[in-house]
Amino acid sequence: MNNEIISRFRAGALRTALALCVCLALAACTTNTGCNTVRTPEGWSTGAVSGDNLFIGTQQGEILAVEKQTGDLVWRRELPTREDSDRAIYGRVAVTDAAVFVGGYDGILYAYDSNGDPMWQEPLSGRIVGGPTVHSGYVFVGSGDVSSGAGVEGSLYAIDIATDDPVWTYSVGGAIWSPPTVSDGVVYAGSLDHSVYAVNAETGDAMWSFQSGGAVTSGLAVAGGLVIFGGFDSTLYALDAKTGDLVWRFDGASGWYWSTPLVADGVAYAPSLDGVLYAIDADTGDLVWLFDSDGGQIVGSPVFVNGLIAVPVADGGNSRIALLEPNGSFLAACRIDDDVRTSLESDGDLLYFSSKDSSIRALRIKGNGNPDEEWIFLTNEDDPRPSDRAKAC
Amino acid sequence: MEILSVVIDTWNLLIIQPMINGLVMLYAFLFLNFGIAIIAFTLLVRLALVPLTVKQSRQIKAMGALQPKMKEIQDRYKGDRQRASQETMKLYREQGVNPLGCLGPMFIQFPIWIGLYQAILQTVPSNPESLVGLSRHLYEWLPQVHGVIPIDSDFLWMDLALPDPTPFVMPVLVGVSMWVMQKMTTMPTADERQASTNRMMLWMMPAMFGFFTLNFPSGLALYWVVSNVVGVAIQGFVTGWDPLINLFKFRRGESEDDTASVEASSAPALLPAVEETTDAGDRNIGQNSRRSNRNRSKGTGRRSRRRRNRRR
Repeated sequence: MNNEIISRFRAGALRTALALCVCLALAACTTNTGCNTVRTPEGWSTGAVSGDNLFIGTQQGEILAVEKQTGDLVWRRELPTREDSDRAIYGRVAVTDAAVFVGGYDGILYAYDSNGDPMWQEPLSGRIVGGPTVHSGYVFVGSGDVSSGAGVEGSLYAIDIATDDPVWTYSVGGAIWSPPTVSDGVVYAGSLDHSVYAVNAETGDAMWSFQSGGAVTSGLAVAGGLVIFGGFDSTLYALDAKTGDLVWRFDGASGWYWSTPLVADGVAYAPSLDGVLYAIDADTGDLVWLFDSDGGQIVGSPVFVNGLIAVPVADGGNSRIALLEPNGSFLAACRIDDDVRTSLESDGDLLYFSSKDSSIRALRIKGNGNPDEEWIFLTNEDDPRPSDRAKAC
Repeated sequence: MEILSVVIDTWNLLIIQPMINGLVMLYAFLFLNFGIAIIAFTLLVRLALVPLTVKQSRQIKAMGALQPKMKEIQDRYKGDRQRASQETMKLYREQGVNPLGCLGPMFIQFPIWIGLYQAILQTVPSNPESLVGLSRHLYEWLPQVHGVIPIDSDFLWMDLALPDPTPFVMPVLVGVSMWVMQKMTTMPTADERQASTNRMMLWMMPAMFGFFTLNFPSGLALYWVVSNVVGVAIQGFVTGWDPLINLFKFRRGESEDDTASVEASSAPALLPAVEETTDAGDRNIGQNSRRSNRNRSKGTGRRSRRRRNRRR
């Protein structure tokens, strides 16, 4: 037997097999099936409700308007992105009564009118991840590339909706992937350069900045004279909105904060990538309660719906929308087939979100917390799922 | 499915996470330059594997030294394959050589290479999904690693998260360095079929890896280049630099040098037959392995050439 093995070895069979294994493994990688090469961005877009419609981006790089009660398609536009590697939409879609604004991962801010006709597009320097914010006739949006090293900058823009001209640009040391927040004439945004910035919304002049211990992609929630945000240093900060001075910090998380905390009734609900939603007293920074999703990640922001807190949990095939009472008690969950990384949007008792499985869903949340899938819209036209599929919940 | 999940979790826990955190720590301490961090990390890993690599190189050297005797056995028992195998095994036992000995270290290193490949891909964030995924792998008790994320992936003319923009420099460097590495480590053989396989592999592997480099992040290409260069260096120190030196010689000079080596070897009568059935790379390795004293051999080679010249 040994002799046979030796003979085979000498004939090169093992060596050839080993080499072929390497080649096959690498071939699998190049097709992006077996392992990760340069990953194609998928995007996770948060919808916005305006009038009768929900406006939301898809993983196919389109902007959709669907009827918010039925999920019927109103219009659908593909962003004119040139490269497939840039074809993604992150962040919230911003809407007014007359227009829809969506930031493309290709670094272009697109504006459509309410009928889906293109109004204008504004190329920015770097990718748009945080999504735009509309306020007082201006669109505020941040951009920048992922690298945060010296010389790599990010920018915050104020663009006049009527003329599509940038009114001012505020450049910082790292990409701005945080959705801008506008309050009392001040624009707040965080950056991958570890700092958060307060800028005059009219002039673009700097008011203050604060350096945290990590990159900031979280939006800054403004409430009660405080600016509350989390960073990659797993710390939640509260700053004085006028001066930028630190008021308190909460170090209890073991994972990064990616999305904007939800602040209501003196409590900040901060989602963390460690899979925990932290409820923090907004005045003192003390922990009120926490909800542990047990293994998932909470990438998107929670939202209040029908008096309850809805939390998106990304956990592969075990992803879910968890529904909590305001005191943190778990009520129910709706299991989703794939990651839900998007922040949630609510309107009345309806909850809207998109999932990595190329679906947009509406859940109706009953007063007792039980969710019912109201409708689903499959954005991938090649999706083989049958129309009579079982509802998620 | 459960078992697969456990295997993946174990793999991540034991291989991927230490590598990712190690890479990020190096990035934090080495001027926030990810290119330098990859180079340093590759050197450290190869350093840790030196005992295995040296063992592998010595096995290759030992196998090369046995080629004349193996050829003799093959010639003697041409029609009796079974007997030839038995005699070969006996020869291995007598010489204390394990023919699979060079394969073991290779298999042990293989998971480490795969782990490194995955670690580099996951450490360099190419988009928001990658960044969110990276957060799962960083140790929460190591605050330094969280403070330097996201990694600045710019290095020289490249974004290490993306393929080389030129786009030929890194593919060529990967291909050339792998070819040299193959040339240095090809197992010497007296078997014509094996020699043919070796010839094929000598070109196929560099060509394929060069091709893959077109689509892979240039950070991985940088790792391959550094790893190959280190591999060549280790092989050179263990078995000699002649295969590399011979690459720069003219064909005629190379042939003379080979002849010189043959004459200097301990089994001069058998070697010419071996040379006929092996490619140039095999010859080089073979001649290296036969040189217990390289200076003496070269001197002998020079004397041999002088003798031939006098005869002319």
